[in-house]
Amino acid sequence: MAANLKDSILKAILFTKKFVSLLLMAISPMALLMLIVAIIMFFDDYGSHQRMIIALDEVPLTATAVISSCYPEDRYCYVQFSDQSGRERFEKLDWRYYPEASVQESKTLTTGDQVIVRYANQLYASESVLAGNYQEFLDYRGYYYEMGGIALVCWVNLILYPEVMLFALVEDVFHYPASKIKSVRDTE
Amino acid sequence: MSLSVTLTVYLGVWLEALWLWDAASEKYGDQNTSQIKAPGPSRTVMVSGISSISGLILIGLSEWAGKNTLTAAINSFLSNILMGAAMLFILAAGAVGGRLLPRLNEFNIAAVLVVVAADWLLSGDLIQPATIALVIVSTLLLSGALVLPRTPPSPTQKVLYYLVYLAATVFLAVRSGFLQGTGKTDFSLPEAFVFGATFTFFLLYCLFGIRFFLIASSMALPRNRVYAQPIMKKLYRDDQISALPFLLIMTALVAIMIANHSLGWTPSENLSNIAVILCTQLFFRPHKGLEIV
Repeated sequence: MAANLKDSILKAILFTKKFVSLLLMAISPMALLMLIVAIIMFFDDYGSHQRMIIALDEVPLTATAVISSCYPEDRYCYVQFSDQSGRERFEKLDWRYYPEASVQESKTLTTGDQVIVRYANQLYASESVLAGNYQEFLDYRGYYYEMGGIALVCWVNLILYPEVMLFALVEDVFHYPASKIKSVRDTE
Repeated sequence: MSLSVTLTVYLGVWLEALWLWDAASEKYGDQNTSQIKAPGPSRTVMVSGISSISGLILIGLSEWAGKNTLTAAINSFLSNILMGAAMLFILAAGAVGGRLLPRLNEFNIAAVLVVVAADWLLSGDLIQPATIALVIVSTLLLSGALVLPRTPPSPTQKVLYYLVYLAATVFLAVRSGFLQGTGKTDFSLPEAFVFGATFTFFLLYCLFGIRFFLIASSMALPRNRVYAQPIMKKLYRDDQISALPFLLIMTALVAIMIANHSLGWTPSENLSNIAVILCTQLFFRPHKGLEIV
């Protein structure tokens, strides 16, 4: 009875292991695509942040803006203000750059409240930042974690099952594991 | 860009792609393109000749026609179509299919390392004497380690060497401003040709660099190292040639780079890019017709 139970548990473990292996191998092409997308998105986010810093640093401009609408769940608000040329501006104020305390504070903001924002002179820059938290905006590196996590998981999957990347470099790559296992056994 | 410049860029792209295809064809044992097996000029050499003559005629015609609404319309159409086609071809045939990747040996890799280091040192970007010394010493050590041993490296060593080669090539691509240069429009005709050729080469190796980095990192697991042998068979060659021709060619190449830096014959990044292409595709290859050593 005990031997049967042990045998069943062993079989279940082996089946689970095989199932997980097959699953990881099956999703490895998707992992490759996701990794490429994550890398592209990382560079896009990094580039956007750098371009925004350059635009904001060009001329240091601040204004008192009025909150038009807020979306606390998505961590952003829209603000309205007049720029130095007297033009009416309607821009996004993203809270993801700031520490948790500022984010909590932002949740209390309602339409009509006032905040001091730093904005870019260029009209195509449609985002402002909090003037008092400008250094935190400069130091923001959130895109490392946002895209890095996805990229890391995909990378680990591809390290475990690299067959999809070997297409056209190794003949009959999906039958190669058989000889691979044999070769590993031989070396052992 | 005028129509003649656009045509020259794509002539460069096309001829470089053909040359890469020809250099890589030996590993597929292709009778039609292999320079080793074909008795006369290979098919790719003939296609290159025909393409060059046709391209020069078209460039001449577009120069003669000058700038007008018709050439501007043709230029706009060709720019969009050819750019998409070229990038797709380089991605599919080169980075994925491997048909544009010539096999390299230790001498090609060491030569590229020397050229990249010389370009970096001559650029004047390195100010600290310690950094300059580090670059010189590490390049000499790496090149020596590649060139001096008389026994073929193991497959895993080959993976590391190839990774170093790709890193050096991508580093030069970024440093020479190739990635930023894709938005450049004011080319002379020779500059346009060189830009087209280097665009093909660097785009190919930047794309394949990402793939190969992932492959190399998967070899952190011992069970995946069995793939090193079949992969490197496609990317690496075990020609054990004498170090003397290497020393002579590299001395001449570095002397030309130094002379160009002093006399300003051509933009130094163009010369470095051409030198890397030559070191990869022409030098130290036992090829009939293109044999240098």
